[in-house]
Order: sequence, then structure tokens, then C-alpha cells
Amino acid sequence: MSVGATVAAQEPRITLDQPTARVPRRARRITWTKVVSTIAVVLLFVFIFGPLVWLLLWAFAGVWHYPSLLPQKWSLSWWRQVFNYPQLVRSVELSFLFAPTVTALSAVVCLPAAYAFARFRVPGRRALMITLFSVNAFPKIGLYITIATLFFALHLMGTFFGVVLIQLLGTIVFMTWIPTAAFAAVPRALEDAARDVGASRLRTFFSVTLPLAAPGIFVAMVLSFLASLDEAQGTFLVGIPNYVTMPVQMYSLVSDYPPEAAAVFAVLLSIPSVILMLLVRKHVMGGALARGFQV
Amino acid sequence: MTTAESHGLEITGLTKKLGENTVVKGISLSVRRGELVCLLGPSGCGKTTTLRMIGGFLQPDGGRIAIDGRDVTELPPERRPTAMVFQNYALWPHMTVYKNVAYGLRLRKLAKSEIDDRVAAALKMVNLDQKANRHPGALSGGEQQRVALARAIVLEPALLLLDEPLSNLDAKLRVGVREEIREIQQRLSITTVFVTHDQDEALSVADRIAVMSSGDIEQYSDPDDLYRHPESRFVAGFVGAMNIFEGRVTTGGVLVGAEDAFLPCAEGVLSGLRAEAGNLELAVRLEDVSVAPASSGGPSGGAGRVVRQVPHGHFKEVLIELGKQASLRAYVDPDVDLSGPVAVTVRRLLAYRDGELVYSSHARDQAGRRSEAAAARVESAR
Repeated sequence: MSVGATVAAQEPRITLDQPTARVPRRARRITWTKVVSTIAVVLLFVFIFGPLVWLLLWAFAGVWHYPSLLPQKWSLSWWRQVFNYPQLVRSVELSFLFAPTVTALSAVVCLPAAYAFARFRVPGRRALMITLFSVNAFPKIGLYITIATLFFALHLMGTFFGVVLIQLLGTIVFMTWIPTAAFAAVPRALEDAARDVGASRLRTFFSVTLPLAAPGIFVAMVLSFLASLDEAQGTFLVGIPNYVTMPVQMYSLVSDYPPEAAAVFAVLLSIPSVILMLLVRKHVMGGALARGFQV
Repeated sequence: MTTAESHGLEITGLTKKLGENTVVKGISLSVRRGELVCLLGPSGCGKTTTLRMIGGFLQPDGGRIAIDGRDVTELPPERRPTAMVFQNYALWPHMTVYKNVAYGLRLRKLAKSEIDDRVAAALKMVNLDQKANRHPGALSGGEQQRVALARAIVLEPALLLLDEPLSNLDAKLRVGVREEIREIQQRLSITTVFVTHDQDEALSVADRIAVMSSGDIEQYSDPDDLYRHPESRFVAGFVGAMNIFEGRVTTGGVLVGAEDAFLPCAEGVLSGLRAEAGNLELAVRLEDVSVAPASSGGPSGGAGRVVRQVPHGHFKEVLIELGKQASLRAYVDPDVDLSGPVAVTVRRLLAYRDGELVYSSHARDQAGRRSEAAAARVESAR
């Protein structure tokens, strides 16, 4: 807005000094781009936040009939209903048991791989990384069903470890790509300098490489945590009836209760995500994420 | 070297291949204790590769490296008595200046009080004792450079390695910091290898300079000798300002350029060169060209015209055109009026054939300074 204002303010003076049409036309073009981009941003905002606002309204709606824009009656009754739902507490507990477990295991498995991708000449590095990414490119449910047949054979269906494994799948891409970029971004000279003053390889890793790659690793861990927290399809397939996490609970709520209850539950489910995203906002926007998704 | 003492650094037959390329071709070099030696050369000449092999960051494909008489060829960097100042300083951005300097001492498990004392002394030496608690990001380039130096010297290394330490500083600062480095090096008398591509820097800080080109050492000598007696065409062109032209010898002077412009030489300058010597590459320092207004009765010929003048204070650099195809540069007295035709005379001259020195008009003053090989070449040319 400030750019547009400055241009507009200068326009008359420039036109007086130089009677050429060039400068005003340029100013008009800037205004046009601004208008178009503003409309695009507003549309995007509505597209993303519209359903969320609608969800929030539903969660507090008592009576809400078409064509009213806002609920006719507000109510907290569905919140009471959801909080009295017997499986709710259990599902929250389970979700917050799986998410850290999956994140930790994912870190243990993926971080060494990420370091190797970043520092050593791994044969077929590109192919490997793209394979990891491709897990997210296919419809997951197909993949899960194939895996489920394998899990039956291995007696992993309905087990804690089975659920951890299936959730791990969705976190691998974050835990490999982003830390690979984070490790690669640590200049080798900084490691050389540590070796030079007497640090062993291991010592160098812990006092130089890891602290400098930490922001990227942190972002990857948060994204993994959220991926695990929100994972429903695979957990549903592998976990029921023993392990019903919050998003899986959503499914039964949606089918068994009116939309108000589902809305309340969805709001509850998004609280940890929102808090965590706000926490890492600085790092996510700081380019660690952008850097992570470059081959 | 006649003394039996072991060298601060002794490199023999050092070779490094990167893929198909041999980037360091079996070089040998010895550095006396407390001496500062520059590896000087254009980019890609193998100087940094050599330094990285000395520091242990690259494994040589052949040859040996000994520091203070001890073979370190197989040792990893952390077990070598070397300390390096990296080109981009390589300071750890997540540690304060104090922690950067103290890190190596902490690895050595010294007492806290001793670490404090030594870090304080090192920081004082580079005038950064006031900034111990800053992070590197909050320092200027020159200050970061000095932290890197402090981090290296605090370990009291047997060998200090400097990889183009001044290349990221602006020109004014560079001169100041190089004096500072030299001063500290002298005070601590640390054996030092200093890599640079800047011949001016090398000439001003080094005890001796090894000029490198395509993985080989072209000449290893002290700055004065290197300047006066470049043993190869490459060194002549790389170290110091030099006029270099193709030409051949004639009576009283040389014929240069496509049009055979006559360039007269002073009495005795050509005494060891015969006309039959054929085409040679001739090299003349800018200060070895006499320039006078043509009317003042200089030797006939060598008439030229000054086409450009660059003032340098107490002297002036001029570009003189001799005919259409030949020109040469010279340093002249700024007070002499050279607007008219000028006469030039060469007072000192070096001649090269196939890149090797074959003639020097002024033999080295001390017999010991002339290397056997160069002397032999000069003899055979006569």
C-alpha cells in the first residue's frame, strides 16, 4: 500500500516536470498489478480461512438455518456433548503418545540418512530422495491397503508398533529433505576449522554441525509431529479397534453425530497444530522449508 | 642449507590428483623455523590444494609432509600441530568471540583459568579484547579476520597456515591487516605458510616466496631476488610490473614488435647476448626504462610518444608508443615535461626462450644467490 501511495503522490509532479507519458503509464501499471494481486490474496484468504471460520461458527451454533449468515442461536451444548464423549480423552492421550514416538523414531532413522545425503557422495542420491518424496505423490489409501496386507502377514495389524510404522511413512519426507538441506547449508569450512583446532569428527558434529543445522531439524520435527497428529487413513486402517486417535475419532463423529459435534472436535484437533505452527513460524518462513524442497 | 637443524616444514614430492587432473605435481619445499613463506600463484595453480594437504584436509596421492622433523603425512587435521586461518574465516556463528578462540583450548582440557588467560592474551594481541562477548555476525570483516587469527595463534601451533586471509577485505584494510599479521608472526616467530594470489601482498610480507603455476613451483626465492631475477617467463609476468615483448637483438639495442621498432639499450646491457640468439621474449622492469625528451640528445632511435600518464606522487607511470605496433610502460620523474617526442633507453633486461631465463643483463650481486640451474642456462646462452 505504501508503494502505491508514494507513486500516486509523485505522479502529478513528475507529469509537470516531464510532459512524457512514460512515467504515469508505469505508475498505472504498478497500480494494476497491485489490484490484481490484492484480489488474488483476498480470494486465497477466503478459500483458506472461509471453511475455518464456518467451522468455528458451527462449533458454537445452537440453531443455524439457511439463509441466515450467522447462527440464529448460540450454544455450548455440543462442547459439553463432546467433552462427555467417553472415548475423547482416550483418543487425545493416544494422539499425544503416537506423535512424539513417531517423531523421535523418524528422527533416529532419517537424520543420519539426511547427514549422509548432505555430506557424502551417496550413489543414486537424487533417485533416493525423489523416491522418498513420491510416497506423498500417490493416493495414500492405495499404499496403505497394500501395506495392510503385509501387516496382516506380519501380525502388525491392530498393534502399537504397526500404527507407529504407518505414521512414520508420512513423516519420512519431512525428516529427510529438510534436515538434508540444513546439514548441507553448514559450510564445510566451519567443520574443517573445528577439526583444525583438534576436534574429532564426532566432536565436530556435535559442537558445530548439529547446532547450526538445529533450526532446520526443529522445523522438520514439528512438521513430523503434526503429520503424525493429523494422520487418519493409515491409523484407521491399521489401528482400529485398539488405537483410535483423534483424527480417527473424527471419522466416527462425522458419521454418528450432527455437524456441530464434528465441528467442535475439529476445532479441538487443530489447537495443537496452530500452537506448534505459531511456534515455528519464524523458522518455517525463514527459508528452512523452502531450502528443504530443492533437489 | 648447511645447518643440520630440522625444518619447520619440509615437503617432498607432494602430489595430488583430482580426477584426471594432477593439481599438485610432486612439489618439494622447505620452510625454516620462524620463517614466513608465501605460496603465490593465480587461481588453479595448486597453492590452496597444497595448503589443505599441509593442514590435513586433503590426503596427498604421493609425497611426504614433515613438521619440525616429524612426519605428519598420515595424520588427520586434529592431530597435526597446525592452525589454519581460512579464507572466509570460518568462525562458528553460534559461539561468541571468546568461545571461538577458547574452543581448541577446551578440547585440550586445560584449566579454566589458563584458558581465560590465554584467550585474553590472544584477543589482546589482535586488539579485540573489548569484543570477547560478541558473536561473529556482529563484527566487521577485518575484526572477523582477526578473531580467526587469534583462534589460530592461541593454540601456539608449530605451523600457521593462512589461506588467502586478506582476500575478503577492502584494499585499505588489507594493507593494515597484512602488516599486523607480519608483526604478530615475527613476535611469536611462528613458522608460517601464507597462500595468496596477490604478488604485492606476497612481496611485502614474505621471507621467501614460492611462485606456483599449474601445480609446480616455478621459483622459490626471497622477494628481492624474485623481483630482480625472475627465472621464468611466467614469474617475470606474474611478479611486479613488467614490460614483456617478443624481439631480437641487434647492434646497440633490440628490435621489438611486428614493425621491428628499435629500442636502444644502455652500454653493456646486451654484452652477453649475440644477434644470432634469434627471437626471444624480452622483459624490462618499468623502472629500468630511461625516458627523456628527444631533444636532450639521447641515443639515436628509440623515438616514441607518451600516450598516457598516471600520477603516483613522487613518480609517474607513462605509456609510450614506439611506432604503431609496440608500446612500453615506464616510471618517470613527474617533473619532467614529456609532452613532445621522447627517447627511451633500456638499462636492464632479461631474456627468455621457451619460458626459461636465458640471459640477464645484471648478474646477481652475490654468487650464492644465483641458483645453479639459472647460472648454467645463462652460461649456455652466451
